Amino acid sequence: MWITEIYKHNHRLQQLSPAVRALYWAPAMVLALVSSSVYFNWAMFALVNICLLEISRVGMSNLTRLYRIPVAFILIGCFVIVLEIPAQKAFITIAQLPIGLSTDGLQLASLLLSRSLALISILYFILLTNTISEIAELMRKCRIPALFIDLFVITFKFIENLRHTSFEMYRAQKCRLGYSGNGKRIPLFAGLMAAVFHQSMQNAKLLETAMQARCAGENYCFLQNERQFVPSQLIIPASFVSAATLLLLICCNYGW
Amino acid sequence: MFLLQPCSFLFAAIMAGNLIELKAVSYRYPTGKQALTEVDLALPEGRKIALMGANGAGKSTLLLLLNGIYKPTNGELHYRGKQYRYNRKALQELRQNVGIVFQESDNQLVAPSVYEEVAFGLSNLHTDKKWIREQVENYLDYFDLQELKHHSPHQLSSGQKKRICLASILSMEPELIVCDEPASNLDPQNARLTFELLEAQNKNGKTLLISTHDVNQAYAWADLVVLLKEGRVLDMGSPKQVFGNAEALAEAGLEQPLLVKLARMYQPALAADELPGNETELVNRLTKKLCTDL
Repeated sequence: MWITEIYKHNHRLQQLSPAVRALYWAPAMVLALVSSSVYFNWAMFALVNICLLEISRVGMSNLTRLYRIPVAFILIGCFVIVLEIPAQKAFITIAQLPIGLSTDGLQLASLLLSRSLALISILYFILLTNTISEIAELMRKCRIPALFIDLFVITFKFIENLRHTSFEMYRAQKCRLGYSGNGKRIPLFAGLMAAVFHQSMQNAKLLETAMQARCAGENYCFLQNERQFVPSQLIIPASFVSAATLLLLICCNYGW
Repeated sequence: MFLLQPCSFLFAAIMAGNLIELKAVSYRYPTGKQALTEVDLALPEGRKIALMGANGAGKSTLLLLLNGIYKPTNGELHYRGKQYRYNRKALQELRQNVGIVFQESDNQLVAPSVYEEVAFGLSNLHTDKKWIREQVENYLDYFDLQELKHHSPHQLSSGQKKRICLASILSMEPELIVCDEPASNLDPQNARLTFELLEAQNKNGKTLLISTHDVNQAYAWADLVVLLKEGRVLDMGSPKQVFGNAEALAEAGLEQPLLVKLARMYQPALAADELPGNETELVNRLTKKLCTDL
């Protein structure tokens, strides 16, 4: 599952400029980073996902699928933190080594899990409500060096190219009964990787030629559709930020 | 809008000189492969030119030389009588005047939305955003892309992608439009639509150069046909002259158009100038012959 596959061009923030859109996610990201409250992080995670479903017009099933890989990685990390070897209260002993769960580790893991998920949901919010050129434009407005922005755009384009090429080639291999026998899988996969990189480099070169033919210079220039700014656009993000800050204060006040 | 202005340029086109001239141009790839050898070619202004040849004949290389992407290893290129220069400013000017539409649309589409794709070339050339936006809107209207302007170009059909590529190039207002296989990967309806769009540009005074394998399309469409073989110009002239020469076509690895084949079936000794220009002409001749025979 790739974000470019499920991105909806007609999302609800489409009429807002990337700078105004940033007001939806930037404060949330800051609050999630500074918060040490598990409850606040879970609330933020839930709220951002509800907003995502409503704003980005992405379906629940697609959104759930997006979380599969990051959640798998986070859970493995949390599991390592939670384990205590040798444990005082062991629930299993392997080769005379008592293995158990640590109380401190559980607290840390729950904080890590909640904070990671809150931040990932905010990251998905950014990616599902902004195109790559809008993010680049926002970075340009934030005075991030042009070299870094160009690298960001080039890397994105190359990964996309790689994905497209690998998908096409993998499908072509499958059509010729590739990957059908156990002994064939690894050599076929190695061959696929080599061919994909070769083809992707060629495609990237062709793309560069096409860009040069249209007078592309050192910096990528993408001109977006003009978007009007009206102060009323700030009401919703301001309310959202106020509510989130209030919630964080309540959580901190009660030591949750 | 300039695109829709009625323009009777035929007389001007006939009287006009050459837009681009190639004088003994050779090009060798860094790998050592000789792509073009001593090519002498003149592209008259306001005409529809078909560049033909088998795979590997050097068509795509020639198109990239015209746009200044490649620099000839030998020989000279002239644009309106002035020799090509390869400094940054001269290349910007040249690439504005010589727009190239690539064979594979996916290799040309770079922006995340149709609007940004059409604006890409203009943004590289101009700084006046208001003017660029007006120009983009005009071309989105003209190519019937308004409803798709927020879509990702990669998720559209081949015909729509080709229209976006054309709009992106034409928005830069080039004098010469170069198309590498404009009808490749397109169904007949979209191929026809693409040629209609190109035809409209020609009526507005633009010079068109297309590279194609489709002899039937080139015979019906072009004013001038250039036949390439292994990096050399094998033959050049009107479609009737070039396609009437069966030997040269066979040497170039191409076949005669169906119309020429049919005309020669019933009149083997038919001279090149006497070949029918279109289907109607051929049918009329056959009907007339049938009536006379009866």
